[in-house]
Amino acid sequence: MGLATYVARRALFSFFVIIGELLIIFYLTNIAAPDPAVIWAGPESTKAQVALVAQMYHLNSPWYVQFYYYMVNVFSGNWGISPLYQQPVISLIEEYLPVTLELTIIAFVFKIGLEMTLGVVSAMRPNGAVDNLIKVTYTTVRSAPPFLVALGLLLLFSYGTHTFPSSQPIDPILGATVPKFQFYNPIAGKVTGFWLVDNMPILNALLVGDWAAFSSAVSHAVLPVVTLILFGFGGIVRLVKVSMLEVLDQDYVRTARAKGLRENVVIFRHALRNSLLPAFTLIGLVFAGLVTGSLVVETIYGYYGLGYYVAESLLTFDTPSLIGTLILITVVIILSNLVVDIGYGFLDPRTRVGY
Amino acid sequence: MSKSSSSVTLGIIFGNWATLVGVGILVVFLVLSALAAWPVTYHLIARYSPDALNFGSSNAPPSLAHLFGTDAEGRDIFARVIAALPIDIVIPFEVVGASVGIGFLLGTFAGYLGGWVEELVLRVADLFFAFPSVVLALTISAILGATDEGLRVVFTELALIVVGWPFYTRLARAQVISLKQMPFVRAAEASGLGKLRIIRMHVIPHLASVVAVYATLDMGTTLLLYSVFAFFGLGVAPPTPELGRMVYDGLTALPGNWWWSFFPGLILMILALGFSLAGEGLRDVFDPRLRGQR
Repeated sequence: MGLATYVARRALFSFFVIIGELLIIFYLTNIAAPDPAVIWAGPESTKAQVALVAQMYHLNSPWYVQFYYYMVNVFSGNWGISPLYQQPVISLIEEYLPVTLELTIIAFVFKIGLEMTLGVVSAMRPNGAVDNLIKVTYTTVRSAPPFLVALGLLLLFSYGTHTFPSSQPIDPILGATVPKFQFYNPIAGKVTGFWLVDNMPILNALLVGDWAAFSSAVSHAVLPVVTLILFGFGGIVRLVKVSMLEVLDQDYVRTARAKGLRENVVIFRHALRNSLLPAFTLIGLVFAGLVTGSLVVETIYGYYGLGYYVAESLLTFDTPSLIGTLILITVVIILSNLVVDIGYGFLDPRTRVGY
Repeated sequence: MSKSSSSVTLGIIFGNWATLVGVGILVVFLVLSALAAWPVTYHLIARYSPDALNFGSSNAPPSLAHLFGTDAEGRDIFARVIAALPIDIVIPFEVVGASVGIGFLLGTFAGYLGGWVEELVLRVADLFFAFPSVVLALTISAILGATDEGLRVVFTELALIVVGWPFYTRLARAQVISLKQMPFVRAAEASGLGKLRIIRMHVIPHLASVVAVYATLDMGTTLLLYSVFAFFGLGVAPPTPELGRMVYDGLTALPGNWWWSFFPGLILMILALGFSLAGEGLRDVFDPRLRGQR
């Protein structure tokens, strides 16, 4: 199959997944739920509010009319109003998404790097002391529920040694004074409102050159990032180790050794690249796992990002917020899976067969 | 003559200390939760009742009288952990059992029958597989359980099954596809056996061990996943104790009363470790290719 066909099919499938998810959500909120208007208005709302919401969302109309307005609203960014915050869901997402995105990306980079390194190291001498140590470590760590890791780190390094702060993405005093990054536009001059960048605490501080805010944001991010790295730790280690062992068994590696190449060259120049390839299939899963982990991690560290927002919405049954974030997370994860799959199909043509 | 397969099995289980530890943990916890399920035997393990308020000894640190300390209302945390065990162990069994049941059957039939059945089942499974499962499950459970506290745990379990079954469908289907080409299945076909009978007599028995391995591993994951749901209040209605929820409740008492959150979390970890060690030991037995190279 050609790459173009593969990409097209893969993209079409992703589109159907998103539509499928929207259908499920519509079914849950407008048909399966005992009282759809209460879902959208919030459990604490009065009778008059519920009636108003029912009218606003056309909840008294037949299901296909409801479906029409639901789809129009989803695609026009009209995702309802959060009963808890009394603000449009979409503007809350603008505020919270970048914080989590930044945290997740940092954790993701370190996690992948660390796990791949450990995987290669443990393949060097399988069942040796180092390999066994790594095995014992990740088997234990991945059995820990995410909140236990967060709690342990919090008790040790925040309440215990006071090395890192216990809550918030940045020192609140610094956070209030740090200016928003202004994007330089040659025609209009400096423009703010580039929300995806200026709501990221670390990146924004870096871009405006506020070093106090930068170091504060970094030290606030250390414990959440470490917790996210440790959450579900070991999947990639194991995969890289197994595939490295397989690769080291291949004829071309034997040839490289027979040529008299040094072990380092054999491993890093010949074996490494092929053995890392299978790990890319896990990247989508890792990313999805980090999003899940961020719910718990941000709740415990009081790190005000998307995970915190979702957790608050769960605890208060703020359904419009939940649905908005669910749609967003689905789209982000599915698109990242799409990118990974296309990249993988590009690197390894054998994987194109399934679609 | 080679060693019989059961003695190889036992050899792997007992020769590998990790598997032994895993099986040991599971046995201990299964016994504990069986005892904790009945009031009479419950008091053999725990001295206090899980709901007994005792404001005189609230926020007591771990001691001989209160092994895991007490919470803000003076309830003994060890007693509450023990009381929570039956629920926290039964729920992963129910969720994984149902996911295996649905996914395994669909996957087996899809793989064996092929054609449009296979295509349909696979596409639907792919669809569910592609969702960010946890967030989807959290939303399902929160939307449906918003109004009725008692039903929340049911919806949570349903949500976990909804996102859990596709894995087994894929697993079973992949196995069946290769089994279909095996001489003994071809022979059964040639001798004129019906499809249902071939699936029941010749295909399913060969899949059972592989599925059992992954189900055991999945038990640990589901336990942890469910604890996240319980953490967010989507589990069993209070005052019934539950490990995940106890961790959440204990957060209010930080940094002073750390034992309130810590011990329930630690118990969850030990239990999940038991499932994962036992599951990996089972995998060594049933999947010899990976033996010793994890």
